[in-house]
Amino acid sequence: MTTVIDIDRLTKRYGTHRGIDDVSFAVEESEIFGFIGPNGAGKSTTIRALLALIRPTSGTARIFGRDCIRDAPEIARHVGYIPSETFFYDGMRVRDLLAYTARLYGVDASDRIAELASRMKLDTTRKIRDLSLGNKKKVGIVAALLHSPRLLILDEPTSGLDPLMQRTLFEILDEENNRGVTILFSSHVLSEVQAMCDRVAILKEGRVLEIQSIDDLRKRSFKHVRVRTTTPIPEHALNIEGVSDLSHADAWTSFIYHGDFTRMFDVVHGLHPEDVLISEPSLDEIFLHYYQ
Amino acid sequence: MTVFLSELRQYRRSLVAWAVGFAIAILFLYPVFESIIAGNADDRAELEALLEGNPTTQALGVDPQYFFTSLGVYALLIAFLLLPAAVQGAGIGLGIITKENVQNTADFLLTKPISRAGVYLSKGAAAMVALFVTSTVFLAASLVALIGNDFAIDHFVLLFLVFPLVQLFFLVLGMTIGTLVSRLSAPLPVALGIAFVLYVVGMFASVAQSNAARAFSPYKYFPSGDVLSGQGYAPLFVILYVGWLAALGVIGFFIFVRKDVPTAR
Repeated sequence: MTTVIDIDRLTKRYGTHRGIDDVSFAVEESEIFGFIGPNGAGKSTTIRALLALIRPTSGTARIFGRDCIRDAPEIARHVGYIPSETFFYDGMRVRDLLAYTARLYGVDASDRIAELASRMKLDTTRKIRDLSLGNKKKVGIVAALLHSPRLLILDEPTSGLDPLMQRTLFEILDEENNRGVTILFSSHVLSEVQAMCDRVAILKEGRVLEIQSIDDLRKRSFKHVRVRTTTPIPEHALNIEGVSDLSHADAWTSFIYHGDFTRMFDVVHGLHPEDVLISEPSLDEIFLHYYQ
Repeated sequence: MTVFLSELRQYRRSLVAWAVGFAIAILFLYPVFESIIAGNADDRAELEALLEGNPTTQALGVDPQYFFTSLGVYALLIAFLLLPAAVQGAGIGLGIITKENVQNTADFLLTKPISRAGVYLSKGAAAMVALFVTSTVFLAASLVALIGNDFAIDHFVLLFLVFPLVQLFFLVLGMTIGTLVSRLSAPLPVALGIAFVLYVVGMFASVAQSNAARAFSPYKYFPSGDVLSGQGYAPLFVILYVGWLAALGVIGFFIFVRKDVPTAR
């Protein structure tokens, strides 16, 4: 399998302000790689370094085996980028902007533009300045896909899109991925990452905390435990290592558990439960653990 | 080429406005000034003596002994028109670079398969073509205004050339400042400020007869007195002009190529 994105100890500092620190990961061909973290975690900084919009302080980033800064124009030929906020030349009409984009890529993409615009329900005769946020996003999506790139870099691609359009976008991304396109998908909406991605890098305060497959992340020893008891559980009863997010509602006590299950079962057994539910935590719940 | 043509298209309207403005200025002002001066031809010796050493004419860089010739009048008008010419040059230079950050379109443009160097040079070339068109229109209007007058064509060419040379200087200066400041929502007032400050420096240089101050005002690199007396341009200032242009061009280019693109806001 070919490595499409290879980031090695990438660091970007803005004076004393930290951007990203020692970020390393690799994305393989045809993979959908998720990139999650709260605002300010360094997702956009990493993406901007990949796109040569900013120069890293140290470390290297390579796409298709080429240096992201030195070979930026050659790399860009095969990369489609959807920024989190899309901005274009306001005075232009959508069709002129898309035609200009195609010319910048050196391709004749009129058929592809027509197809994508029709699927995204985008009126190409309108002026950019008259478009809603969602419609501008659609222009960004068409502009990122019209040259049939081999790599898609998506920074919060669904922001501003209504649920129906989000679904259309995911369908398109699925099709692209099926024909071999690699996707780097940055988001703080975990359900999207969960639905789309094969693997995920979790970012916090400019650092990669962990890189895991979505399945592993979900299946790891994190469990959502709910215990129903007739009498309230004493405060200290669940004061054991591995318990977090402890909450009580009516007869139910729920918590996230990570650790030795025999020990947990012993403790729960001692509470004389009426009912016990153990389930996979949502990615949001797992995610919260990294940001405590 | 794509960026070049797109930039040029964006400057269509302002280009027409500037070119028409300069053409009207020279077509209307030349006959007016010429008739005023012709009307005072009888007192020529007296006026020349009066204007000799006059700070106002000195500041404008106009030599009174050529005041009563057709090219002397043209040189006087050029001395005024260099200010708006500089504003146009600096305005385009500042705007063409900073607008991508102001409109937040830098991400769009700089993630396409065109190098930063290519973008900078395309923008520079488009701006130069815009100024070239303005200058050509101004040249044509100047010739129309001077029709029927007897003048040395080589002197005229050297006088006229100061116009595009000053425009080019301010264009390159504007582009370089544009790479440094990144965001500038209103480039024209800033361009006006830059053009005016250097104009005042030039006036000071002329009155104080300071070559050091003159080195910082491109308006005074090619004085009309030198041209009309047949000396042409002073080689030292030609070298200085080229030096400034090269230095500013190289600085602007390298900043643009290496600078981090600010995040959209």
